[in-house]
Amino acid sequence: MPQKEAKNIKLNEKEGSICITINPRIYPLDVVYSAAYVFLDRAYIVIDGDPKKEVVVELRLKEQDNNPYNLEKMGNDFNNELLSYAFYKKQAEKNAPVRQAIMQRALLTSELSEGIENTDSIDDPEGIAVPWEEKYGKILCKEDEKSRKK
Amino acid sequence: MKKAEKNEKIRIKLNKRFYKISAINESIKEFENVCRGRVEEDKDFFVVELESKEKAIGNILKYEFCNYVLATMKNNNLV
Repeated sequence: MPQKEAKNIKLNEKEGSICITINPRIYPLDVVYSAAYVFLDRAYIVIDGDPKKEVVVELRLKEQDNNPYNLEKMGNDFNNELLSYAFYKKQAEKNAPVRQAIMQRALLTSELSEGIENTDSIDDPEGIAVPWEEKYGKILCKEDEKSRKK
Repeated sequence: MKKAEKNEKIRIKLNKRFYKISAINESIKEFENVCRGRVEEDKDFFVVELESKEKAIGNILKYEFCNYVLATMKNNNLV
């Protein structure tokens, strides 16, 4: 089924490339980079333009294919990817306070449990350490007995 | 026997507002086995000059380099 070229896509059949113009007020730069990153395996990408006015992304299929259908499809897919990342970013910003609270809680809990563990255990990988009572306890007992006999 | 083709010199202009010099330099270093490269800058662009070490491989080098720079920026959290 022939795809309709989106308004922001310019097709260059001779060169086998498309140029997608993006409004940076709708899709911020980091969203553009994220979307472009996804396409690196199937297209050659160059970003140009003005990040304040209009961003232009040129995509060229890696498999030499000047089929306009495939080029248009790639352009439409790219637009979808922009929308997807824009939505993801919006949700991430919305959930940031909740995420931070959960992380802080988790870190605080792990710090508390580590503190309790550390008072009981010592670093003794070869098991050489001997408890004080075991080492000196018998000597003390003998001395106690001697003093009592006196 | 065919004469060896002259190694092609490729010039790439990358917009300073979108590409980072650190990523470009890192990419040039990574492409050392394939080509010699250097970067200059003018007012708005980084101008990268690549000279392939082996016989001409056409525009593939140029496109792969651009992709590599983008990937480097993303992977290094520069963008």
